[in-house]
Amino acid sequence: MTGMLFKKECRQHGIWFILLAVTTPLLLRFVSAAVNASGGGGGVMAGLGTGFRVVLPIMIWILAFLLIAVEFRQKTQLFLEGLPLPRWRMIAVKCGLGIVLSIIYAAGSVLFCWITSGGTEAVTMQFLQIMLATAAAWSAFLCSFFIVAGFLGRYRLAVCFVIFIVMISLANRGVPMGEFPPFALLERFGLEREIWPKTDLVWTWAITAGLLGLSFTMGLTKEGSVAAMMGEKMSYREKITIGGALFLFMTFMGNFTSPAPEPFELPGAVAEEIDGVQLFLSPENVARAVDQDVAFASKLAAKVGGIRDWLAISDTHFPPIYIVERTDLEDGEVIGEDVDVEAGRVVLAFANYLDDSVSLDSVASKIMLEVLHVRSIDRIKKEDRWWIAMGLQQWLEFKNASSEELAEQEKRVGEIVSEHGFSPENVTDWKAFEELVGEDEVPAIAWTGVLKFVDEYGEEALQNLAQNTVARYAAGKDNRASIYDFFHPISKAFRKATGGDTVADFSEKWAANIEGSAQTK
Amino acid sequence: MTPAFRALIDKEWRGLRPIAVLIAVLFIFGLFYAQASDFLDQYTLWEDYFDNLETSTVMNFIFCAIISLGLLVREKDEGTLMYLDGLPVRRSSIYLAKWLVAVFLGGIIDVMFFVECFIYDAFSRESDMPGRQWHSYGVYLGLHIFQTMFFVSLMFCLSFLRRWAFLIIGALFWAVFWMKSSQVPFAEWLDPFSLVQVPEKEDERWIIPWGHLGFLGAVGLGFWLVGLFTFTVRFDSIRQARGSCLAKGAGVLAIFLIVIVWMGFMITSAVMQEDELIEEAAAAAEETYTEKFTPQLSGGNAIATESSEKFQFIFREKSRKQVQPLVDKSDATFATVADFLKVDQDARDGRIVVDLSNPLGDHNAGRAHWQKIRMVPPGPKQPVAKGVAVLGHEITHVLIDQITDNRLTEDFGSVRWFHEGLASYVEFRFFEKPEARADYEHWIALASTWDEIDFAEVVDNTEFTELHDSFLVYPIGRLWVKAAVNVYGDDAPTKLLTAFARPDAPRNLDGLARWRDVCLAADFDLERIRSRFRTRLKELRDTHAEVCEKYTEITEASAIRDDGKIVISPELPENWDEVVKNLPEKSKLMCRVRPETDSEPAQWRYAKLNKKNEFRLSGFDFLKPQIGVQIGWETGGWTEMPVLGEWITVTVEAEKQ
Repeated sequence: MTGMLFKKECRQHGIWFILLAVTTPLLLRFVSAAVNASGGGGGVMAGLGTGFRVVLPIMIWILAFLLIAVEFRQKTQLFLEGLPLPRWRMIAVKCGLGIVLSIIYAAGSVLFCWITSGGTEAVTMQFLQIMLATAAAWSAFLCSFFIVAGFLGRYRLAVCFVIFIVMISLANRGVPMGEFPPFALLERFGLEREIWPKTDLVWTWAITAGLLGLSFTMGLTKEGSVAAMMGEKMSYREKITIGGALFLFMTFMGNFTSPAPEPFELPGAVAEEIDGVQLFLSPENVARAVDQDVAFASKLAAKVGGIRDWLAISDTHFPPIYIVERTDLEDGEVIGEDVDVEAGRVVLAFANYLDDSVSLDSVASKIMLEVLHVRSIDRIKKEDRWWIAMGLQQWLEFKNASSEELAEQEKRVGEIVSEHGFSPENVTDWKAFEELVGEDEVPAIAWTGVLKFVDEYGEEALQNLAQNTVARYAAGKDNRASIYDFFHPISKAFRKATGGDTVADFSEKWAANIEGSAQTK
Repeated sequence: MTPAFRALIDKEWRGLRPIAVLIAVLFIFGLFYAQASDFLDQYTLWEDYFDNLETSTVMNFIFCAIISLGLLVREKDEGTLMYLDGLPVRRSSIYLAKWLVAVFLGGIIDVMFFVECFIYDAFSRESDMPGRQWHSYGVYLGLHIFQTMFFVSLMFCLSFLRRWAFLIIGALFWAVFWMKSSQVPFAEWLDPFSLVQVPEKEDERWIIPWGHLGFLGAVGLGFWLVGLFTFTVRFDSIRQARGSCLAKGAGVLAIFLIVIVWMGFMITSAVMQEDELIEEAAAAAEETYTEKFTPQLSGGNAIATESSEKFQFIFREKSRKQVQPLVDKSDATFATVADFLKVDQDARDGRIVVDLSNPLGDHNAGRAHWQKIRMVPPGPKQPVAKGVAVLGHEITHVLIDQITDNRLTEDFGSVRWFHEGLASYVEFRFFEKPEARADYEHWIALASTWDEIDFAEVVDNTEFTELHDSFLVYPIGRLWVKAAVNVYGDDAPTKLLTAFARPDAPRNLDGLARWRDVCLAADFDLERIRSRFRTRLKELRDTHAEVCEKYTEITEASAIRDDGKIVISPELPENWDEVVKNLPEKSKLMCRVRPETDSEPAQWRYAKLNKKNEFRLSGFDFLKPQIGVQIGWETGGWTEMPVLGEWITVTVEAEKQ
């Protein structure tokens, strides 16, 4: 009877078995050639590994569909069940035939690739055995998996999709899928010549046996009625419901795929904490004594703490500050660098902080600007508030500047204005103005704006403005901050700080003031 | 539109309405999901939406497959086709109705996403952004809908194959991939996924790729017709059915033959054009036109093997004379590298295969894989020492993978520079003459003078290769490893590798985050090494400032199509004649050109400046409206490799009239 079942399968699907037997090695050899043509291959056999990953599953899926799903979909299993043979034998013949054919396809592909490699693969007996064993195990696993999927009937695509999404999510969360069987079998396929992947082979065959057991369970439960029921076609309603559920599942899984955090530290850094401000300085020359760095850290932490309090920023949302010394930076330049961290954000900046020509105010104000960048997740650079942030930084830097420094700053402003002019529209179109003037020059213009603001409305108004604009905190990279800004626009905060004057009103005064200063000079 | 046809549209729409409802639900859900993942007042069309076009094209393909693959065959399988045959409508009308509804549904998805992003863009606009680019938006939507039509036609054509359609789709994908990798001319046009090529700048005119559209249009029409044929043919008898199958097969074969013949014609034209360019250059008594790389196939020679304790060499018999000395020195080379990297005795077991029998791609002296090295055999005049140096370089790669158990490949984009850098460091420290190091130092000095080196970019290979010469990672990596060794000693590389491979290392970090983690685990301060690296770079710039000054950086160019060729005119400085006079001997301005940002080196082309101050290349290799160009210098021996500046995107203007 077993022989009859076998003959029945061959008669029913024989032409497709032969077609698969012919096309599988050819297609896999072609994939190997394509991979090697792109420059990424490690030779014919290594390229075959790629084929085993991406093309062989399709072939074996077709095979499993022919053997299992077709039978239930066309309900011909009812005829077979009418015959005097146990149901398990029918399933066993199908599974056995599927596994054997899968192994033949995979092993045949290995041999075909070896023969057509033109001798460019140094294939020893051991190497060949390893490849054949790996190919057999992998193809058997695929066959058993798709047989189970076949028994799932109309739910097979959904289940496969869920498994696929789970695997992607796990991979994104850092679970090394490639190190677990059966995927580990293909990691070094065609390259590992000496070490048998014994553990992976054993586990793969164990998983295959388990899947086959599951197939038998599904095929025999309630005299096969479960499988028969699942083999019926899905209605449209069912498809939509499952499709929607799958998408929701996918989105849900997507939320858990954020990358693992990184630990951040600057080994050997000078640490200082004053009034909730955590500051770390990393000297460039580790051999020198750190007395100066310690002293500077104290002063800087105190200064930054003062600005923080002025901006009414709470300790909770104030990031630790790491500054790496770079003696190649000139003119008080401070460069910030993005860092992703686990327990909150940090400020990482590079500065020549011990340069005598650079004032404490300069470093502190630039560091504070970096702090505002990090707290706002870069929203500080939005056009409506960027000029305020720039101007505030410059104002803090030049608050205690010498008359020479102030004169130089004013001279810079004069040069910019005489070359590019300044109009009220430049305030609302600040980014375009920055592009025109240059990002290194435009802060000087912003400084004049803040000076005029203080002159018009007082320092308290400036503090109020700063607290309600540039000191805004973004809790996370989602739309909450945008929605908050929509309902609390900068223009509103500006009017509140100035007691009624709009940005446009102030811009007129500002432009007139700059023009006036330019004419005076 | 006749009432009957309208009824068909209505029927199809009703049939696909559940999918439409599903798509609408998913879209609405996506709207809420967008709130949780980004600042929607800082989400611009150009920088955010168009940046993810690859993903959206793949999603478009998948949607088209879901909508279209079962649309025709389901009528036959469910028996409803018999009912439709009884109505006073032709099958071609039914087919057209299905196609139109599928295209509409597939196209509407793109439009919905576009409109969503357009709204976000409206909230995100700032004054430094150019005005609305309506022309570009129209072109983009048009191209996307064309892609949808193409995909639906393809699915309709293959749907009669049922599950075998996936096999054919897979085969088609790999065929196009192979052709593109093998530099087959016009292979670009076979790829529908690359149809949408966004201009680099927002205010640049989006040029419609008419050639590509025309070709895909013809192919898509072919698919559409085959689908129509398979759907409209009816079987009154088994004999007719058989005949119909034969006819279908003949039809497919005919299309296949037409494509093959056409490709053959194009390839011949391309080869003839290459010859023309060579003759042109020779006639102008200039240096030889730089041809595309032709792999040196040794074909036809018997394969030979030789073994040493650690290696098995495979090579062509005719290169035995060059390979034998390499075989003799291989074990000693291995020992040197393994000792430096402190590889355990256990890990030294096993043989490495060295395959010198097959060609490699452009600019590849060798490639390393797990326990396998592929190398170009040493040339007849090449000193053995050079071959040994390359072998030492590749052995380092193999041993890195052994020490880290292949962990570095998990995020190769962040570590490629280190892989190559460490291998280069070993190569130059143990196997190359001291003079050879100068070559790398000159290279990096000039590149650094042009601001091509920023560590934060180097650790992201995708970003780095998009903007700079990807081969720069060799000297950069070498210098960085040297800095690490200077700061932390000879053990530094091994400690870093061990830190990479530690069992509790986070597995999905990338870029600087990965390197901070690794350095901390190795008890190193990344900033100290970076500081040493920067200092050394500055020293090199200062040392070679005089020579570097002579090599002007050129970052602007224009291009036109001229008689089937591409002519690139670099924007030369006003004192160009002066520059040329002061150049060291045999220096020559040259360029490298790529069809797309992520093109493999196999698809790059090179050209040298001719007497008309132009670069000329075959137009068959660059069919898109925009190309990537790098301009740089062959330095006449001061560096072995050409030193190239940043990649610039150049729009190829239409032919001169």
